[in-house]
Amino acid sequence: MSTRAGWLSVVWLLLGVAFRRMRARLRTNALRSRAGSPGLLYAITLFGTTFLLVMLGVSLGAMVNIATDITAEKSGHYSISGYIYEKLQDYDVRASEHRAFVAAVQHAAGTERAYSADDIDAEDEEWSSTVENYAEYFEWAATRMVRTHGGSEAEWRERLKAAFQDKGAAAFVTAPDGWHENPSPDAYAVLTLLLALWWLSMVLQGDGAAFDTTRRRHPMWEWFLAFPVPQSAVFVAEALTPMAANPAMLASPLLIAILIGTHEGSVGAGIAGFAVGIPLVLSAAIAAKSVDVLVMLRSSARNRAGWFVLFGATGLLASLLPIVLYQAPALSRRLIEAILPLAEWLPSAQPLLAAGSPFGWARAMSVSVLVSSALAAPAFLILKFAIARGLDGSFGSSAAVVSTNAFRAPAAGRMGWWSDPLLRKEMLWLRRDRGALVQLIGVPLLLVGVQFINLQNVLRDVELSWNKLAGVVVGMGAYLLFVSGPRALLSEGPALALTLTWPRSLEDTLRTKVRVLFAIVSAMVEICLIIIMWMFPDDVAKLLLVALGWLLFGWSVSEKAVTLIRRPSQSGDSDALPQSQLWIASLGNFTFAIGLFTAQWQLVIAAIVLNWIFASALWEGFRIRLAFLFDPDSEPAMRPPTVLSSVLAVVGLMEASAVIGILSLWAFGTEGRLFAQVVAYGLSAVLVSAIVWNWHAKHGVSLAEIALPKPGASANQIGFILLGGAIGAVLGAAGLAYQQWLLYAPWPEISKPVQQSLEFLDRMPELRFNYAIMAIGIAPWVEEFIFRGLLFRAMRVRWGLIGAVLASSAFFTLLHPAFSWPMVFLLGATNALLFHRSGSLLPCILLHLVYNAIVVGCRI
Amino acid sequence: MIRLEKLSKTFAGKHALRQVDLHLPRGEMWGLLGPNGAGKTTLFRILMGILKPTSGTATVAGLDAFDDRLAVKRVLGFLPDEPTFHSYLTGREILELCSAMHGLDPQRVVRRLSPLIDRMQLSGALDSFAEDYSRGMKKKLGLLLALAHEPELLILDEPTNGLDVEGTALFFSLMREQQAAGRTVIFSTHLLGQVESLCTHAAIIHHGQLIANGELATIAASASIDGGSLEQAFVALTQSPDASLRAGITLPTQRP
Repeated sequence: MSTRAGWLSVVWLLLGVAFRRMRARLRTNALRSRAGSPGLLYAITLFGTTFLLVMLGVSLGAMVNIATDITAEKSGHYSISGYIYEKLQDYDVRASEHRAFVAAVQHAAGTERAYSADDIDAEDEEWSSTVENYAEYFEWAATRMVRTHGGSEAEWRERLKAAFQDKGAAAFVTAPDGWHENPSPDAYAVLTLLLALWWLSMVLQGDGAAFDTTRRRHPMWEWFLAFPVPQSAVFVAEALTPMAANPAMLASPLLIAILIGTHEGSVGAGIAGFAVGIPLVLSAAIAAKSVDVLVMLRSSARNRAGWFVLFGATGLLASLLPIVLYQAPALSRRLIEAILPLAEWLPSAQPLLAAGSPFGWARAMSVSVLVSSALAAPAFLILKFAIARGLDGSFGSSAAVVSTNAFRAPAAGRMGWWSDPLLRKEMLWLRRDRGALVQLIGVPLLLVGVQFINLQNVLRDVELSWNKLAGVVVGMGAYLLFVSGPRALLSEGPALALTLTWPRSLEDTLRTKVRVLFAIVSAMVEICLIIIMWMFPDDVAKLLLVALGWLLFGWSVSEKAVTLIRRPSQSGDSDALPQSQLWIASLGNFTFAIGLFTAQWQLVIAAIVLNWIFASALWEGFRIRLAFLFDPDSEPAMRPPTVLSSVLAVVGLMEASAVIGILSLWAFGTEGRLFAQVVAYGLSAVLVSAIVWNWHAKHGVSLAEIALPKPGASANQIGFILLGGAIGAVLGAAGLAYQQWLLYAPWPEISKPVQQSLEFLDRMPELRFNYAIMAIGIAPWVEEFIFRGLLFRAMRVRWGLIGAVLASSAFFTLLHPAFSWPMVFLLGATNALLFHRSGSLLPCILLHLVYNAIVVGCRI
Repeated sequence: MIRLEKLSKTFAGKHALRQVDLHLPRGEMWGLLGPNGAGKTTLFRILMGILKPTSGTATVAGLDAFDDRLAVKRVLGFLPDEPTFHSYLTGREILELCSAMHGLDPQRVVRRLSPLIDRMQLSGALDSFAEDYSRGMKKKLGLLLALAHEPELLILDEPTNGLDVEGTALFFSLMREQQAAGRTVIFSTHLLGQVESLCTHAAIIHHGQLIANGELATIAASASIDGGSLEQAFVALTQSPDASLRAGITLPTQRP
């Protein structure tokens, strides 16, 4: 004969299951992020949650203070720091003393009690130093006012001075370090609203905010109720699970404890206050569960995860909102001013917080229990009704839809992109799956929001200009693409297996997804740019160029992002990405934004070209890898030089010369800036070539293979070398003519820097010598090796001759000063063709060498 | 139709398939037998071009299974053990999508298959989301997708897994009809009765090795000591494959 399990033990057991589920989730996260031991992650979670709650407590206290300040200001008082308040009081006293002295001096003048000149001088001196200090106090007070209210310091200084001259120290109240001694009734009402927001944020978070749109939740009641246990125990345990499953909720009574402790200024009251928080959190757990179950009943399995992520993210944001606002007092003030009119309709939070005395605690506890019961009762009823319906089998299922004829027959000949079934499939996904909106828009926007919080300190003092705003928009757009792209394949879920039975490659599926993602992000970016155009009507033409540039740039960033895709597992998660790959793919992502922000247009153009080249370099390897997505063991190693390895060599050259440049700047001082550049370039060129050469040798590619024609090639090598020298001479002469033209060009922004650098060279003959060594002895050898020998060769395989000539020359051009771009591009393209025809680097090196010798060595 | 030559596949040093030689002629129905983990699914994934052989070759209708994988998918219809679909599409839309992906007119394909849809008793559910289908219904939809482009070769991984008696009978007759229409059918199972009732030929795979291959009668006769059933042969072969191989029981890969 078996005994029935006890009611409490069943509740305890089931809550234990929920708690273990939370621990398992943490452990999975620990394993995935390789954050180390799960124990460490518990500790971090615990510390993080506690820290956030303390921050939240402090922030809520600050909001109450702001509300109290606003009430005080309404009656004509300004809130200033206690220190300055004391000083102003002293000043008041001192001023009346001074006035009395002056009156006494006047009164006594001409009598035998007349003051001596020394006494009057002493008093005058002391008084003027007091007045000086007094001015300084208003500086300090004004600085604080600007932080808390916004506006300008000068304006505040005058306003505060006027108030002081009008009413003396009585015009001010002191801003406390902790809570105001007497928060206004309106402030308590504002706190009630903020606590309601906190409660709601817990309800929305439910089992914990998880950003996994592919996770499906299924209720386990049927399984639990299959056991001979008291059914009400299962029901109650189910209602309370969010509290056990969500560490944030489990720790939440701490917030009430912190609020009571700081309000009463007593640790004991804080500890006792913990109990006051528990009923509120319990009611939030029940409400969260009822929301959970309602979603389960109302929404199909497909959409559930989307809703949960949406609710979880909103809840998380709502709970972080006061902390963010705490960082921006002026903004908080404006918000609180906006909600203050509501205050008279709201109950005061004071009875909940004044829990210092035993009577106060009992009162707070009763308030907490009463409020919680009122909040939990409807949630409980919803839950009871919903579970009963759920057990009847009425879980949300997908309603039948009328067949849409979404997929059409391919028209005769080529299929238009709009009727591509892959695109139509994505459109149906967007239309029907709530998870799609969350995945494509919600989660990325949340991440952008978090980045904005990170950036707010940088952006706070930035004066608004069209290029800075556009820079931020473009940077955020690139970031959005970069975080969403690698998740593109996740939307296929397990149905990815179905796509593998189609006679179209996975690449087609991915490209369609990239297009949709790019279209959505671009729409957001372009809308923001239109708003900026509206703000800066004078710069519309430039902003139109940025809008066009974004389309080119964003497309390549989305192409790059998609190469980070991993194989999704059955559970919908994907494997971790190798750091090196992530690093390479993120190179250049923000160059466009930085160029715009800092108004370096050369960088903007470079960003667009660089990203196109990076994107195709990454796709070269990705296309091969994609065939082995499910069979990574068989993936063949690519024989260098690949576009990617060549691009990395170029970037290595740039980075090395930048680093060595800074070091030599330090060694030679700013005077020898150009000299430092020459030394840096020379050193890094030799260093990088040696490393690249060695790396290729290790991968079985010899220098001869890169630099010399294939053995037995019939081309006349001597002829090509002579041709190279001849073209070099012609180009060199053209280069000199171009230089001359630049010198006398009608645009000073072009002619001036050219003039200056030529004059500089004339003044310093030894620099010209160094320049010549670099331009003849190093650059032709290293640059031909990297740009023609590696980059052009690798691009030719993928892009065909014309594409490779243009792209490799464009890349080569970008690394030179902007005024030399046309000639450098011509040289790059000529050399690429010469290398293609001869198969040898020697004619190219000679051409480059002769050109450099003429341009650097000759002076018309 | 399918030709495997010295086909081997290793995963991180572990042999999933070893030196498999097999030639399946056009127009036949073959059962691929083997215990769990024998390498049946790996073999199918190689034929689908999802995995690349570590060594040896696999060709389908004269096409290399990996290098020509897109072309192979035009001649091959595949029913996986657990068919998976896009959760936001209805059964009809999935069928239309797959037809369009094969470059066919979706409406025409649905019309062509509608007698079959009726036989499967799927017409009522066709406009519901496939994620709400039962396991058997998913299997039926999976088979419709495999037949959508009228492939020359059908590969069915555990086709009757999860089907009820009626469904199993329907699948059997459909497989026979496909063979009668001149198509090659290969299916995996661990139910010997299915092989005996459906086909004349089978291949037995065990620990990644092809241990028997040919006519059922020959397999049964050569492997079992008392000249008994296929089941006895299967047990004898899979329990001591090395011994049976040594005894020269490897069967001819070509039909006589």
